[in-house]
Amino acid sequence: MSANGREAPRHRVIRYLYGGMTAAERGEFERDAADDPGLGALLEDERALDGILPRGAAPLIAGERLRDNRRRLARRLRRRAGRGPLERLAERPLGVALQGAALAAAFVLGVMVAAPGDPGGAPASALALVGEDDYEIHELSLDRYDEATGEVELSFALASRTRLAGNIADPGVHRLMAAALRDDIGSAARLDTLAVLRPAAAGSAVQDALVHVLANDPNPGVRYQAVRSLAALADRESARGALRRALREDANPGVRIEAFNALGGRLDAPTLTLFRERMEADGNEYIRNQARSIVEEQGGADRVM
Amino acid sequence: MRRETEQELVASAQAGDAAAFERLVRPMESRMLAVAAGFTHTPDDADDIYQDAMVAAYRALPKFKAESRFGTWLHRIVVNTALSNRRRLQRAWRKLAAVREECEREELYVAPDSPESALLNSELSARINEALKALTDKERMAFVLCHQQGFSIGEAAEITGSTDGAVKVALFRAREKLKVRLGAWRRGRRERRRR
Repeated sequence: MSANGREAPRHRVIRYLYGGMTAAERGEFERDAADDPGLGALLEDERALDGILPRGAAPLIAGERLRDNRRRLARRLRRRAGRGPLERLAERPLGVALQGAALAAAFVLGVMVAAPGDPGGAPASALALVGEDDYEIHELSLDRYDEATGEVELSFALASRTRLAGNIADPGVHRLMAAALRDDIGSAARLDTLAVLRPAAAGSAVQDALVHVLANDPNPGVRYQAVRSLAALADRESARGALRRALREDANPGVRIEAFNALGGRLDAPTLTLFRERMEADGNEYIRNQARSIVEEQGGADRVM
Repeated sequence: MRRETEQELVASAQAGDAAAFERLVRPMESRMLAVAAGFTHTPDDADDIYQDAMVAAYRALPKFKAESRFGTWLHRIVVNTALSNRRRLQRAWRKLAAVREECEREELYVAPDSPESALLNSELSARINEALKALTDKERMAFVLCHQQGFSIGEAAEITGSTDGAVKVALFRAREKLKVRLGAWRRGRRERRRR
């Protein structure tokens, strides 16, 4: 604020650009910018920068880099938490600890060299599914060791790498890829998966995954692909619910615009109610203007399905 | 299978469950790495900052109270770690100035809505990296959080422990500096094309 209590024009512009205004303030600002050449020029000047460096342009975090960081962090946290199997064993009485440690080490060594199809207990048969170099063991702990009988129970998380050859028309492949979208497979892989699944979007597993991605994926590009696929299903209420939520809540204007356009093709009462809200509250000018125009065209809810 | 709530994961992580902490962090890791990357010269530095910040957060987790949102708290740790490491890294970089050009890998910038498929061209990415170096810590914080990551001015103030007014000022100054540097680059590029 300036000495006379009025906010400096440049600060108003910043608040306008970065979503710091209420709907009423935004309307007032837009009118002022249209009437006041100085304020209008200031706004245009700032928009020129956004033309070179758009809002949301950020360093690329590729999937491989993300996974490397995840592995590195997991190792550091395990060390920090002292949850490694050997550290746990070290807390036990010395004799048991040493035998337990030897057993744990032998077990790990054993599964590392176990040939595929090696007969044995459940862990070995599970490992037979993957090649020797294709898995990592995480969070191994020795749950029980009976010194007298030599019986041992271990629990661990197994991350494996498996190659699947199939056809994209196979529902089993759909389900697998749809499930992968909920897991952490890196932005690039999620984008590829979404592109491949687009023709299969009508399947319930794929549609559920798209809804999940649209609501939860941190990457706006991935959400954008999901909203485009869901737009093709805009005649279904389940998809429309997700589109409405995206229009109301998604931080990214590109995603909201796609959701808006998909919903606008088939107006219903909840959508029109939402459009009434967005024509005032949305941070994107296109959405506000289009929503207002549709609402005015409808003249209320009388022509809504 | 029921998904654990954030509250449950925080409680498990506070009790020392590292796996719970990883699950808690996972939805935010890409964004936090990008925040760290906004403060550094190279991807390797950003990765180190992210790692240090996460370990610091894990250690500090018992002190976390539900008064603030976990995401805000975590971003605050990333920003603080980035600032303290940045000063240390800047000193190291100055010492390495002689070989910097040969060994420096820079962050590549990507436009919103179109991740790997639409990288801003490498020349512009280089200019952005160069222009960001002109920003002070406060300007950089405001720019990375509000412009790159889409936080509101109020959220950025909460993360940085600052006020809305201070964020606005920093944001405006950051934009002024970037306009000068990137605008000059664009004008030069247009002229080169015309010739």
